[in-house]
Amino acid sequence: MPDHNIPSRIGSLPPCELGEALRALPPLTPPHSAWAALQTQLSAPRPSATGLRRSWWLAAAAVLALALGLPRWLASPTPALLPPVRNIAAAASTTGDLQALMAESAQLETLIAWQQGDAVESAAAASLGVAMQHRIGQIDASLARADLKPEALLSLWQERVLRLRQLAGFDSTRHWLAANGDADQGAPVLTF
Amino acid sequence: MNGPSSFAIDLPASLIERARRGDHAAFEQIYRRFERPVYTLAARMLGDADEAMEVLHDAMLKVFQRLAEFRGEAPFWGWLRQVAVNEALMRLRKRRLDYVDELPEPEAHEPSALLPPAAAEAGALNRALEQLSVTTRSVLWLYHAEGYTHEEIAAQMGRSISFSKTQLLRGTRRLRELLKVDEEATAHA
Repeated sequence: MPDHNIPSRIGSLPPCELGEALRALPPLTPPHSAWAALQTQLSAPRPSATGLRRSWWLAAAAVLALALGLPRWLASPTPALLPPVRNIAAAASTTGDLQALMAESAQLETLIAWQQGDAVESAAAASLGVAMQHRIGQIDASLARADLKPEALLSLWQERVLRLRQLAGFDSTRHWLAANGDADQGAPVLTF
Repeated sequence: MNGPSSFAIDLPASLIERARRGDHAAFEQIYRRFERPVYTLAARMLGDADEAMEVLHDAMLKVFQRLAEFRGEAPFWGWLRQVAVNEALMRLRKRRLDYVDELPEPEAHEPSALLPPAAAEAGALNRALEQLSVTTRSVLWLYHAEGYTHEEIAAQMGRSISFSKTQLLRGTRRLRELLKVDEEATAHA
């Protein structure tokens, strides 16, 4: 209901102090309560401090590995022509080593599948992830060839494990950035 | 002299301790007490209900998740208010145009904080506030309603002290004009 006395009342009032006038304004009420959403998030398990520290070191290691290796990897030739990774080849030169590489490969694939299950990612990060998986797919295509010599087989498996390690590191970095509230997950893509 | 902030609610130490241990009932009590002050601060600064809701949610979540870091040396409300101000300023920074849009002015003097009588009418004052830029309104609100100093405002906004003073001068001057017009329009109605 309009207050017809306002004009005359305002005219009779003294000047008003700004701070007092602002503080006298009635507090605003949110359109809805945020409590339900907060309660849900507070109930969700949070990673422990130790876990976060470990994730940070994993992410840092992954970042370093990717920074050093990824540009060369992306520019490298097709898997059939991939050069052997010398330092790994030196350490793994027997049938037992091949089995160890296969076992590590399986473990890394499990880890990657787990990491990618609920990831929310930027388009740039997704694109780089797809590129990494594509290269692994190319290695798999080479491994499927029947005429591979034992040295080439070992070399391809070494290469596969290296790529899987990089992919797992990349995924760890994205998860770490997301867990720490970094909305710009394109950052690792730009870095590498 | 500034009066108390709407945040100035002292909580029992036992309530904070329960929240620190993860008691959701304690979280809810704290949320209910500070819901309106946080929302009001964010809405006044940002001028946008949706963003103010985001600030309310994010500031509360941050405070609850970091309660272990609260040492109790300063009042809890001061800590919560600082988190809320930071959240609002973070959103303000994303609107870069509003920050760079401001032209520098010569060193400003403390303006007289007296407004026309129309400022006593909440509706008129709200309308006038809505017409200020978000930066000017934020400085005005932080200085007058929350009692921050120019030094504190400048540090939080990453600007100079004269920037804060200029915004205050500009905002007060503009409010005076707007309320005078409003008052005259009302008088002639």
